[in-house]
Amino acid sequence: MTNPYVRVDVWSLAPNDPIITAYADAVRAMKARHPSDPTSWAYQAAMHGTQDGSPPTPPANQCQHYSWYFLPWHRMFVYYFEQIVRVQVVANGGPATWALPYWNYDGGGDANKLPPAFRDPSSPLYVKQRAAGFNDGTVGLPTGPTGITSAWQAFDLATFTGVGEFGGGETNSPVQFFAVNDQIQAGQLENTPHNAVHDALGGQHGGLMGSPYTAALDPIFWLHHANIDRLWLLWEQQTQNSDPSDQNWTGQNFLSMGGFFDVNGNAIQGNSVLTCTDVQNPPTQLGYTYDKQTFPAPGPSPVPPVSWPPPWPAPPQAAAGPGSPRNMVGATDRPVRLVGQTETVPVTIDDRAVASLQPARQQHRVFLDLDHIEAERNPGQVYGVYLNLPGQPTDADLTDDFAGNLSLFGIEAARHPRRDEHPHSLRVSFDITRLLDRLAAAGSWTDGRRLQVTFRPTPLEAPPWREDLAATAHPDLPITIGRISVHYV
Amino acid sequence: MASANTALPRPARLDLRQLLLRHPELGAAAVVAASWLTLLVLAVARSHGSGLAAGTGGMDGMTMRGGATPGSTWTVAVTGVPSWVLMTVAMMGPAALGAIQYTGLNSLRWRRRRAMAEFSAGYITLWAVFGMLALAAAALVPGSSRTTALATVLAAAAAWQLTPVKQWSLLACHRTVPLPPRGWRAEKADFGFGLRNGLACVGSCWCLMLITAVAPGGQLLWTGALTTVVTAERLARRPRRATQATAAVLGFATMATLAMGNLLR
Repeated sequence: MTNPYVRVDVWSLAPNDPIITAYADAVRAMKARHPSDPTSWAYQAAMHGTQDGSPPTPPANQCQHYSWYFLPWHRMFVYYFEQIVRVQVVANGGPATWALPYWNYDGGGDANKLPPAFRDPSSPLYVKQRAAGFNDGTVGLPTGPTGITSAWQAFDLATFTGVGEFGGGETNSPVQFFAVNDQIQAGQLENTPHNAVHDALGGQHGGLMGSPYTAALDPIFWLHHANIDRLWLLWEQQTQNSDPSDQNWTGQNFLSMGGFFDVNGNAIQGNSVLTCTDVQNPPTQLGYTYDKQTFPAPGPSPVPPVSWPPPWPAPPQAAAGPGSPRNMVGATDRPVRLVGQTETVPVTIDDRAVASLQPARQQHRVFLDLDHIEAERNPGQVYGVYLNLPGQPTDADLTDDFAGNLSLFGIEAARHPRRDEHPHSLRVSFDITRLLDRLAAAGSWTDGRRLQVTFRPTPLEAPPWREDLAATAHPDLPITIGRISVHYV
Repeated sequence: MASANTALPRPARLDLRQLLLRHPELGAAAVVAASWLTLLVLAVARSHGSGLAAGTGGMDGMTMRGGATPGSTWTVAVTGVPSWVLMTVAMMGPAALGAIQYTGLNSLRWRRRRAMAEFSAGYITLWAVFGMLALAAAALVPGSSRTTALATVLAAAAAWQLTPVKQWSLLACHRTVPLPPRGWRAEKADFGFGLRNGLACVGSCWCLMLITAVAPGGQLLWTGALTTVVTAERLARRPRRATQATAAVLGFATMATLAMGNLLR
């Protein structure tokens, strides 16, 4: 299959570029359609999530989150949406090769700000319900190694399946918010930038992007997901395709969730139904590609693994493969409550637990898990998670001690699912192997027993910082983290 | 397209140690299997009139004696508890393995077995208390009304399936709790998690378990059928659909029991 359709970086286009104006005109037309029409704006958004009860569930509320189906389901969802838009673009006299642009918020300069066409109140691409500052261009998404726009941590991972790995936790059938033992498990790309960007744009006052039930109503949603799709494609190239080979993934379609619709609003059925393996290579299988091969900038420079402080086992002797068992070696013994302020919590490594691992001497990965994360609804606040961060950290400290982002996108859907599914909490996991190497090399983790885990609210960028927005960085919606634990793999 | 995952070296033979590290609940699964084996042996022994079944109470220990006096009611209930616990392990064990695995995997390796045992103790304690009450209630039912009692309990179980409390309880069966790593907090949390999970499961399945207490015979068959139902409900990813399907099956069983009762009359 040739690639007639090229998705381009929206920030490389002028606001009045035909690709953008054609998208705006098509969105206007789709919004005018009756909500019961599968090609309407409301219906497409409801397929992702809705609380309205129309259209019925299914096909509404079928978005796949917090599992290894997150990436393939959204690739299919955006692919069919793009075809529906393209037909409308052509009907409006637009380019026949129109393809959905993507928003690479990590592209440097102003790329972290909402593209101008989406801020114009007269445009169908404008949505009022966004976090403060985005619609007037004064606020951008936090960038850099400790920000929320870069996928560098996800690109450090070579394994697709599993909590804390690139693509998410394993399941054998699609569920809107999948849970293992009561807890949903996102992959690292889903965690950052996906979830964090949703949170930042949704803000703390009910912005559309902040909830899976409303996110797809914002026209920027589709450009955000085109970018996530682009990052997955890049990772597939980087790893020579380390997508799952398990039949439960490769052979999975999403008919049980409601499936997708073609440009005429007819349900995709029969041989046309796509499985995950049918969408692993968009250029050859789906006929679209991306204009640039821009990989995320790498994170902090890796240090050679040093001799870890006792009582940790020696440096790795052999690699731990996918699915290697986890061994918990330390945890907090009471919950942590976050209310928009910086919190530091100690985690003590258990000598006896480490000693019990010594005979194996093959562990070489360490994970920091945050489990039983609960909140009544998403506070719209992203927290940076750091290890052994000094009291008055410099920018270099923040970069060197950064473990990852904590975002609660979808927490309300996990707790109160719209479908006939079980409610559950969140579990987030970070691979901190390289971080511990850095801490050990820098001498900031000398006893090997006590880690200080710091949660720091990630401020929105506002050059210069706006005091009126600072207030929104302190939400009164609490988050509870049931336990923080360290695992050896 | 080549997959890097498939290129990774895989162990040529089953590595039991690795398997146990991933599935610490396998020990509990073995206990469940052993309880089933015991139930089978006791059922066979009873069918041959062996003193083994009589000596242990066997499956009869959890069936109603019919027309017991108030004084003997609690004696029947207390002596029936060991059999009830045996049946509970066989019947509820498969559904509880997920929570036991969670407890093991989320505990320090040196105390995994203790944590799982504490969870199991809490879980079984709840069911034992309920079993005593159920057996006492069953003992008060006159022996001549066994079929009617069974039909009544089946109908009640079908109705219970459709109540919000049943739904809430089934969802609560899936909930886990954060487990502290060590010390008294860990012991308390492990046992408490067992109690909490057991309470949710009693809330979800109490009426199903009552069927085994009042059934006039065929306990092994009832236990097998209800184990299938309970486990399927626990594993179903669409809980409402699962409970509704079970309600329909129980409704059919009610009608069948009444029909058979009329035929035997």
